[in-house]
Amino acid sequence: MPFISQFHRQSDYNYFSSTTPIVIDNGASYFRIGWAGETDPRVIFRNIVQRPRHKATGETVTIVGDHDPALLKYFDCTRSGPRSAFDSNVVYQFEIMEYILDFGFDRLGANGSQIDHPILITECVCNPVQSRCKMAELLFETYGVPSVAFGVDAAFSYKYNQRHGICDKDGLAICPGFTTTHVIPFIDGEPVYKGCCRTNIGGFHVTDYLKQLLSLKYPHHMARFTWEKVEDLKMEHCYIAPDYTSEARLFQKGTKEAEDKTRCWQLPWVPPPVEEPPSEEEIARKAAIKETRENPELYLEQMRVKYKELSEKVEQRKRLKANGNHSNGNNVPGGVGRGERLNAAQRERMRLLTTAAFDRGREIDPAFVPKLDVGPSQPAPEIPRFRPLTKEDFQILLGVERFRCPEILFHPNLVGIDQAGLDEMAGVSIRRLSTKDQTWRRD
Amino acid sequence: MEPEVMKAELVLPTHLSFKRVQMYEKYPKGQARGRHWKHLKQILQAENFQNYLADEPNYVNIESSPSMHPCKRICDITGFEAPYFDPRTNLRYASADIFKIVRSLPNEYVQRYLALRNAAVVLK
Repeated sequence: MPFISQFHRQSDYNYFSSTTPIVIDNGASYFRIGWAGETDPRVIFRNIVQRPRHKATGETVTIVGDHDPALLKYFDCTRSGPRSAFDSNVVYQFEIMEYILDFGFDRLGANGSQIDHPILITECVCNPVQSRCKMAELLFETYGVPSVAFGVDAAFSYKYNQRHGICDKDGLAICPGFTTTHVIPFIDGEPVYKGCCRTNIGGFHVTDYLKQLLSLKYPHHMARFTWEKVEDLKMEHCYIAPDYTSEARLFQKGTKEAEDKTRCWQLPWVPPPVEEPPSEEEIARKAAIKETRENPELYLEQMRVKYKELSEKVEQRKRLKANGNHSNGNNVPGGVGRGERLNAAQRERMRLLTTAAFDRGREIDPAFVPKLDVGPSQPAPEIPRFRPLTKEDFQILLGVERFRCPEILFHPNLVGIDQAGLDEMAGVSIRRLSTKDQTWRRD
Repeated sequence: MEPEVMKAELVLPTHLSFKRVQMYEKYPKGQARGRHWKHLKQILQAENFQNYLADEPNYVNIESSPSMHPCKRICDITGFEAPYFDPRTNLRYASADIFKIVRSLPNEYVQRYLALRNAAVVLK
């Protein structure tokens, strides 16, 4: 989210001695970097890289993190989507990782010929050796770092809380991540990775689910649902229902509570311009209609005369055709069979019926019959005119979606991922601990 | 470069003083940029986890097993409880009005709803 990123260049890099470690939290969603001993990281940004082309000069530049979209208009971002160095929660693209580290160190204020501080960097649980080795190679060889330590972020957090008395020395750490969720048991203050459990569901899946649900529900506004916007919506409005079924029932019944819980997002909408005063021809037409209404007999007479003329003409043509005019060619546009069998009045009725289905808003005078065409050609179909769009059409309602999306963390089956959810993982994790930890289990 | 872009320092500079090897030296222009980085699947294959002890935790064996709980059945369109299932489209629905909507959806939408549940027909 834009409002948690901060990447001002720090100016106090040189005040820290060479022994102060730099701490990096290399997460799949956000990259945080700061100094050891402080409570907050100094620089936070989204862990993505874009390589757009500058529109004016044509050179390809690198932009790290999420930035103000207003500034990005100078760049052609169509070819290059944002790229991440992560595949699930493991770093595999080290070129992108290098761009990110460049940016992170640069914003931390690094100067000098190499990074002269020990680095503490986080990795995923049971990180494959290859990934860890390439990361170490990058840090040592490109940045000249004196020493590197790797750790799991959940373990650090647990130790910190233990030191502050919030957690006991035995406990369970549940960490939902961007693409994965882990449950790690701790015994005697040490993480037992043998009992650790990982499910491949995370914040990314929740946001993706919400995005697709909204796109399917409001297909006309699909362009509005960018991933970043949906993530903001998720952060602000989604919540976890203690009991999904009863909450869903509230909404199904349409109770007042459900109404209160429904959030509405009004998209910018411009009301259509006010109707102008009717023009000359409109007035004339309306007068003609009024006249026919007043003298229905006269009108009917006129209609009957016209009908007779036309039906005679149709009969004549039929006779001509029957008399062997077969090689005349098809001078009936739009099909031979049906167009000829219907006579003019029937055809007109059909036309009115079909267009009446579309003309919901426009008033149709049923007695008004437009000028009948002479000839078998079908009159051109009218453009179907829908009712004018109202303010309600531009409202996005978030009701059930608010708690349906985070529910997938507990039931990954809802998105087709056949693994245990958060609640079950706790059980799985404890069961995986070896038998000598049975005593702990019983506690 | 436009002044506001310069001021915001949006673009990553090409030369950074604290680096021993710069990006342009490491990845020279002209060479295929789409370098072969191994994806996670290939990394895991190359690790050869079966050669290690089955007891030791590694990336593959800490993965959680399929869920033992019965699958929660919710309506694909509204999210309510859905005891019913439409055999023609394979969608779950909660009531008769929703069934009307289900039957009136064009095929594209049906497939997209199914894809949410990973149940769409994928032609390979």
